[in-house]
Amino acid sequence: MEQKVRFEGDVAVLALHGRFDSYQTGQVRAWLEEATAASPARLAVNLAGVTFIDSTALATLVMGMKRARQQAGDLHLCALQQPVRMVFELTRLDKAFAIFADEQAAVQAFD
Amino acid sequence: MTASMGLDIPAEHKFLSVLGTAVSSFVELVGDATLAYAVQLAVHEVCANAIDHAYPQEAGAMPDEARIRVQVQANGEAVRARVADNGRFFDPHTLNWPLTTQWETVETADGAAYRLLHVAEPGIDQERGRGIFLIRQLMDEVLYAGQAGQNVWQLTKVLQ
Repeated sequence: MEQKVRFEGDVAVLALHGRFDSYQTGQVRAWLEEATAASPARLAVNLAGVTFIDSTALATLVMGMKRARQQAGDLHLCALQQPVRMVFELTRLDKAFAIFADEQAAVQAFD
Repeated sequence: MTASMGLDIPAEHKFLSVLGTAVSSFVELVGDATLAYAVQLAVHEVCANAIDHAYPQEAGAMPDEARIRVQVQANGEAVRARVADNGRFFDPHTLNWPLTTQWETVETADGAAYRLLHVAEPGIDQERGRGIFLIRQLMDEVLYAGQAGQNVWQLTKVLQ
């Protein structure tokens, strides 16, 4: 899985590409822990390139979201492909996360 | 017409992408992309769970003989996946924390098995416990049995 980071103001944007599963979560978890070490932790994760997501990846995103909220911020998600959105809906995590149609909306929502 | 496939992979997370691609491609040929995704994800969750729990990492390096065998069979009525690992047995009734799962005992052609009836929905900020919940949500029937030195899961998705 590819992982690219860029900053838009004080929002850190992580774009993921490929298969986000139990084998790949280690590097994302490490990045999320570092990105939520200071306050305010404003993060956007762009899932446009993610074709497959599993429960370990969901657990990693929940961890990041909880830590970001503890640090006066949040973790926004955006650009979910239909099968990935289906997994969020089945687990009702679509209600737990702020999910946006695209990266611009996910970043601007912090304003 | 019945079509079937099988794969035998080392019980390591890195090989699950090979399995996922194969299972998904196979099911898409006999069904559609939505069905393929559901079966791929359910099989993946069973395998990931087996790798973490049947072959605990704290025991040291993964033994060379740790394998996962997956067979998928499709006919006009249903897709069935059988996932077998040769790791340590698990007792479904110990799966009660942090989850609440309900099982019933059933007799199958291969002997006694447990049928997964219900998995309580994980709390919204709970990190773990979504794997078994997803398996139950995605499949129409989930059976588990400890048979002849193997953990065997049988997943069935009825075609609409």
